[in-house]
Amino acid sequence: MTSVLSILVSPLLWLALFSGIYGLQGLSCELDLDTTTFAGISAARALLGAAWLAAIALQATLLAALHAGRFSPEGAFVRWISRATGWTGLVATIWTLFPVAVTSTCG
Amino acid sequence: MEPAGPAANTIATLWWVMLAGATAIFVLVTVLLALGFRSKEAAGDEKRQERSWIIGLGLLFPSTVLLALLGYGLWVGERLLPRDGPDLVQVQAEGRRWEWIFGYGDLPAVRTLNVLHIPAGRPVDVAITTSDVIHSFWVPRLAGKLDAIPGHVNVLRIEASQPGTYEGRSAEYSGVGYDHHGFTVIAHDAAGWQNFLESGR
Repeated sequence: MTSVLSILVSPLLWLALFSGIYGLQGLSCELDLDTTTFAGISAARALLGAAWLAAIALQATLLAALHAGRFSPEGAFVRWISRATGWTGLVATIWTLFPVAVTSTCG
Repeated sequence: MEPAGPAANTIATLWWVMLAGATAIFVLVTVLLALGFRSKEAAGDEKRQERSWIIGLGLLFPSTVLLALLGYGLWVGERLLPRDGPDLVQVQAEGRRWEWIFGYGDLPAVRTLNVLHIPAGRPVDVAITTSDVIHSFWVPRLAGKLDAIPGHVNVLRIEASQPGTYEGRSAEYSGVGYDHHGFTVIAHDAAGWQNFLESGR
């Protein structure tokens, strides 16, 4: 069970972050946060950019934990797979949430 | 479908760039597969092979191409967004089964059925909505398509480079009869557009 969890935790976290941040984008449009600006940056852009960076930090922390001795899973095969899915989760978070952080927020 | 406006040109170029990127990845993977069946180097070279074939060519090459395509796609998407600018014309399009009703920002009292009049050579923002179910506004030679959503207005930027008549249609299945849910866009030259505005006043 612990092995399955360590293998799936990063992709599952990415899934939750993806849904959450795109949901946040819809909410920021509904609340007109894209028209409220602070120092030339819209509130929606600042919020989504911060959420994206926080998501990357969360995935990176999880990956570091999977590499660290204390949290590293037992067994060479499970350890290798867990780290691979950890890297996949981190890259997926950077890649798939990049558009929502940098492009125009609301149509 | 020959592009007849800046947005359609941009989309056509995007399509060709995406095709070129996909072809490059497909060709490389095919070549790698063929080489994988062909040669076997000495066992001591396995680490080096892993680095160059799997990481270098198998991962880095497709990732680089996909990253470039993603960046280009996002840049194109930004360019296609309706933004404020000079000479902008505002029109409205309301879909319903099975017709399109068009309104004009310069002529609030005028409505046209299944025919949209626009000036050629000027950007036109179409505010799209629907009074029944979801439809999709699409003039293939002028721009991409955009959904008409009940209770919501989506704005699509279209532009015709030259005067002419362009076919439009709904690109969303919305019940039996949707295949005839079309309309026509007439792009006028400057004098023709002026005549249209004056005749509507």
